[in-house]
Amino acid sequence: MKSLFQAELYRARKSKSPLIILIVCFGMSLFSGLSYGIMYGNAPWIQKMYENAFGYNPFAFGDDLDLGLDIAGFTRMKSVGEFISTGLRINICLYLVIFIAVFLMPMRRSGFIKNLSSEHSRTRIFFVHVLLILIYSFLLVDVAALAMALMCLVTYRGLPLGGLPELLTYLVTSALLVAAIGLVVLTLTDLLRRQTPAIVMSVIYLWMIAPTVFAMGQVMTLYTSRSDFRLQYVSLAGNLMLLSPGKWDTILSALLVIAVYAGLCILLHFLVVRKKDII
Amino acid sequence: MSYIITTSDLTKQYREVTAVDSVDLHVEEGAVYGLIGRNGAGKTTILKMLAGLAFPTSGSITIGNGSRKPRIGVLIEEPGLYRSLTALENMEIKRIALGSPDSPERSRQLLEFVGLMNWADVRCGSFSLGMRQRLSIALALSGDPDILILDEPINGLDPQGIHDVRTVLSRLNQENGKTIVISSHLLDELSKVATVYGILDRGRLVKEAGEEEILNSMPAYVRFIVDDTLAAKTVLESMGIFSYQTKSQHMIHVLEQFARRDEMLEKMIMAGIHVHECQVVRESLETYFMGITKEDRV
Repeated sequence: MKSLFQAELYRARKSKSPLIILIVCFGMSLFSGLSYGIMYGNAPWIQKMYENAFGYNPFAFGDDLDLGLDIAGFTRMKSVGEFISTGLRINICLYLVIFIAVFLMPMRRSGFIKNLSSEHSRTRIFFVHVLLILIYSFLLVDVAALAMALMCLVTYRGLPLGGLPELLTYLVTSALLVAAIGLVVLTLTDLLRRQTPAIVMSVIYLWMIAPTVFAMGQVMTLYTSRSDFRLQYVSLAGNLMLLSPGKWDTILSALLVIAVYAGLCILLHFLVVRKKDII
Repeated sequence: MSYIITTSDLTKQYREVTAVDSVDLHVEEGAVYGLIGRNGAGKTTILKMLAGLAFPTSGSITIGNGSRKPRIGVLIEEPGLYRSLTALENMEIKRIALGSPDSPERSRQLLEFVGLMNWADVRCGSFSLGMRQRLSIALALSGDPDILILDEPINGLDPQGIHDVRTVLSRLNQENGKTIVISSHLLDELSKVATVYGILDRGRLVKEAGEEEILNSMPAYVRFIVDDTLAAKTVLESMGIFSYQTKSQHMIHVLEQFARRDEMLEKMIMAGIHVHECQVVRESLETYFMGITKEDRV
């Protein structure tokens, strides 16, 4: 498994596509931060426009600064800024889907998997790819956070990050949730063995994860008699740091999400995927 | 006898279609096992199952005959390459993935071996089919496999390429003792390297035999090219040989009595006949294959 992982790292270095995706993610996050800044810079004008159009003041919901690493579309609007940044920013999960499509899938699509099949089982290949997804999720989240932080510095001349533990919680949670989606995408592509339907299903799935996570939060609340699993309530990641009262609850929730998804994907792999012919 | 690959009742079913039907293969260590069959006979499916790319519906496969699991190099159907990477990078990925103790220099040696050293740093996307095929053979050889499983390895190669691949396979088998399981439509080419044959027809193994047995069962005749066929026929009949065919004004095929070839030649010369050619000709593997599968169909 170690040698296969090393081979994939070598391929990542040579093919450059993972690096390009990270650069695009960084660039788009800068753009997202910029647009966010512009919106806040024009707050009175937007406020007036919204009041005229919809009859309410969106800023009344609060104007928290959002580092915005959301991974789902079902985010309750807290401010126009959040709304716009959510709308403009290409979802981090989509970068992960692209990574899976252009980097992980070619092993099967190109047929290179045939060269490895006699030495490495499908399960071993699956777990190496799970590991790569986990690592890449952390990289994507960190790169996006760095870009947003830079734009914060430029736009607001400051970086209201809060405490380091909160920031780390925020990053770890976001990465775990992004990775959970990646596992689903990986399993779908392995299952369908075709790229386009797998990607289409994955994108549809991105829009279904919020209610699923919400349900899991409800289960957690039911069993722990606590009601502060709110990461699913407002957003999967956006404003997480500001809304969740306890960092461990947040991380626990994210761990629960990834554990459930990883469990399902691994089960599906063992029951179905690994028994399928490669070609 | 030491078999490195055996299958027992190997069967593969795709919904209603039985692609491979209760096949019992026996591949000796160090043999070049040629799988012969028409399109859809089940050759590729068997090779895929041997390579671990497909699972049998029923039956079993045993690979190896000792405690160490033999390493397998595979080339099945289209060459499996990362086209955006160079030939050398593809080789390195395989080498690293196998955890091979070989140095990167070994990858270059293998490229040299298949005649691609000058293209080592060129992206595979620009390669011709023949070049990709050669690179796939080099990939199959990476990690020093004990068994090579090759499905139509000379497909798409020009005559020089076919010759090169044949030479490479012969060297691998004879000098390095590699066991090779190979399928090809080009039966005459296959007959130049294979030492054992498995003949498949509609998913079933209709015959499994060594080169010698196959050669002995192939129809053969002695071909004479002479200046006077009438006189030659008289000589043959005087020797009690009546099983012959006159093919043209100067050519006679004697269908039996190969052991008496020299005697026939001597008698013809003594009778004053000018003999321009006298040789035992065997039917091709293709003719043999057509005959045996036709027999099976009847």
